[in-house]
Order: sequence, then structure tokens, then C-alpha cells
Amino acid sequence: MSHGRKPNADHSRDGSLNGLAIRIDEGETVRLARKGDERALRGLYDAHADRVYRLAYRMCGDDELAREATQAAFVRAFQRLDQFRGDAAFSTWMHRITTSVTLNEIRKKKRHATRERDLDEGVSQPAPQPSGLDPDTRVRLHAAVDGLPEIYRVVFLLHDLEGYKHEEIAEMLDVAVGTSKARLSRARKRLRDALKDIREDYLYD
Amino acid sequence: MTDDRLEEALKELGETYNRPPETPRHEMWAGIRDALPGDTHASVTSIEAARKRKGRWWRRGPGVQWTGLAVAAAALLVLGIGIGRVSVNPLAGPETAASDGTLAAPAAPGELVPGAGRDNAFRYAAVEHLLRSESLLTMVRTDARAGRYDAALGGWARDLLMRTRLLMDSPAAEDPALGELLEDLELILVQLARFGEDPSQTDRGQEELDLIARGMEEQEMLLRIRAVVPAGAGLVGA
Repeated sequence: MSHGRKPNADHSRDGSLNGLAIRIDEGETVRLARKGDERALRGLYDAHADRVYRLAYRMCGDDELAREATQAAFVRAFQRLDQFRGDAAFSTWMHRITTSVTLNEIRKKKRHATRERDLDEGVSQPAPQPSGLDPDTRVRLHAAVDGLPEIYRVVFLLHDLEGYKHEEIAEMLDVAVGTSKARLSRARKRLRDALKDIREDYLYD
Repeated sequence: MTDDRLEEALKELGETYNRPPETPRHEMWAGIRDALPGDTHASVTSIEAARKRKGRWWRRGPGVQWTGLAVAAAALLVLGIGIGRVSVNPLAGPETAASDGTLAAPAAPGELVPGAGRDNAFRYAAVEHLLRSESLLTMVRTDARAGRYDAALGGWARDLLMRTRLLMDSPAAEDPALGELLEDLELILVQLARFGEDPSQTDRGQEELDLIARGMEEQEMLLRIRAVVPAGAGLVGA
């Protein structure tokens, strides 16, 4: 079950030549980037910025924090290019750094988005209502996700909302594939438990 | 709730939960580019600091300008006193001058060069400043290890931060090693000053202090300060 975009499917989304070059020979781009070639660094950034920012934003729900995490993730990755051995895809390696940096930033800055803020925004800027879900129910759904323990929430976001495979998640979080599956299962169970008091006729018109 | 309904609910989440806006590509790249050259310890903090550094105190609002000018005047006074002290200061040892009257080898960042009065004044001010900073950082490290937090650290850090920025804009920072050290010191002091400003941090004060102390360790701040400060140098009046 996944309801987000598939990872690694949008490298050339921006239509840039750099993105195309990276798809053809990302290894060469990485090699040049290691030498400090700014065009290569920019190429890597262009190819992965959307995905990295999206991932960071999904995790924190805060534009400023997502920007900072994205920047920090790229800076860290570019400084550690020598440590990228090419065993896994560059995107996996990059997303692993992004996950780590974003989690650290969330913990450090205590700016984890709250649903209360979303409520306030909802009052001032009525958001579109996809599929007829009641706004109040949506807030409760969001709160239920926010209320998940971090280790479950991250796996849930990566798998169910962002479409990563368990193998990729395991690589990103440095855990076993089985651990990733178990965490997802527990996340879903907790969500079910948290939502069971929502009456069925309250969920949909 | 049935699994089908949960499935539908999760589909909704996929569309609405922390849904990212358009990626601010250009703005983020500018920050990344600023943070990259030669800085192997860049972090989110350094990106923030680099962004702030672009707007120096004398380029900011009118109120800040006047404050900055007052601070600059005070700093000049301190430097003037420093110049007077340099002339009799034992830091200017004979080893910095060539015995045959030719140009001596380039001085280490914290060493004074005979005949370079103005530059020596700034170097002296920098050394004195680094000694004070070393005291603060040592206390931070000690507090972090002991699991306590002294609320006075924030005010001390703000004072040193102001002086650090003055020195960063002075000829003292033209020395690459000293300039880099001052920039890294600025980052640490920014964190310490912010730490002391936000009372809501008190419940997580120890954790924050640990993070700052860890950053200091990673950048080897104390070691680098001690490497720059000449042996035997001490605070005037201390």
C-alpha cells in the first residue's frame, strides 16, 4: 500500500540536461563531484533536490525546517562523497542522510508541526477537501499519525505515504528489512486503535 | 473501522499529510553553495550563520547601526589600550624577528610582529578575546559533562559574540587561520547565546548543552584556540 509518488521515478522531472546526464551516468557525476566540480555538484542537487525536500517535508511538516534539513543533507553528502562507495544507489544514500538529518533537526529544534497549526491555517485559508473527508476527521487522522512513536511514524511515512520499499527503508534507517516490516505493522495497528473511536458514518458523507 | 476504511483514510493522508509545497530549489542551492567551500564541518547551524553573516551589523537597521557604532567605539578604545600594552608586552618575544634585520618568517596567528603596531593591536585583541572565549568554552564543556547548566553562560556568550564579530571585520581576521577560527567560534557562540535567550529550553537544557558541547568537540575548538594563543599569554589583569 502506498499513496505517494514512487521514489526514483522523477529524476528528470525538471527536464534539465543535468538530470538526464545523471540518469545516464550518475557514477561519473559523483566522481566529478568528488573533485569539487561545481557543475557535477549542481547536477546531483538538481536530480535529487525535489525528492529530498519532499522527504524532509513529509517528516517535519514545516517548510523552514525542511529547507534547512535539505540544505544540511546536501552539504553533508557533498562533504562525504568519498564515503559513497556506490554499493547502493546514490538516491538511497542521499535519502538515508536526509532521514538522519531531518530527524536530528526535529529533535533538536522542537519544531515538529502540530495539527493545531493546521487547524489555524484551515480557518484562514480553507484548503481543498479531497474525496469528501470531513476536515475534523482529517485533523484527527493527522494527529493520530503525529502521535505515533517516531520509529513507527517514519517507517509509515516512508512506506505508506512515500512509496519506498522495505529494502530501501531498511537501508535508509540502518535496520533489518524485517524490522521495517514489523514497525509498519505496528504503526498501522496503532493507527487503527487510535481511529477506532471515529464512527464510520463520521468518516465519510 | 474496517481495513477498507483505514485504507481509504490512509489514502487521504497520502494526499494531505504534510503535503510538500513547491521545492524552493534556487534558494536552497544558494545556501548549500555558501556552506560548501573549505568547511568540512558545515551544518544547518553553519548555513544559518552564513546567511546571517551576509548581513553584518553595520548593514542592518538604523537602531542596530547606532548600537554597532557605539560598540565599535568601545572596541577602538579597548584596542587603544591594547596598543599601549603591546609596547611592553612580553608576548612580543625576540624569536619573531630575524636577527639580521631581514624580514622574519610569517608570524603565527596569535604572535606579535615587531614594527607592525596596528596589526599587533588587533592580534593582541584577538588573543585576549580567544583567552576569554576559551574560558567560556571550558566552562560549557565542564557543565555539559557534569550535567548542569549555568544560566549566566548565555549573557557571557552574547558579549563574546559581539566582540567576535567585531574582530571578524577587523584586520585580525585577514590571517586565514585566525579568521577561520573566529568564524567557527562565532557559530558556537551563536548557539550558546540563543540557548541562553530561550527560557523554554530549560526542560531540555542539558540536551541542548550536550549538542553544543559535542559541536565544540567535533570542531576541536579548545585545541585550536590553544594552538593560536601563544604559550604564556594570559588575560591582562587576570
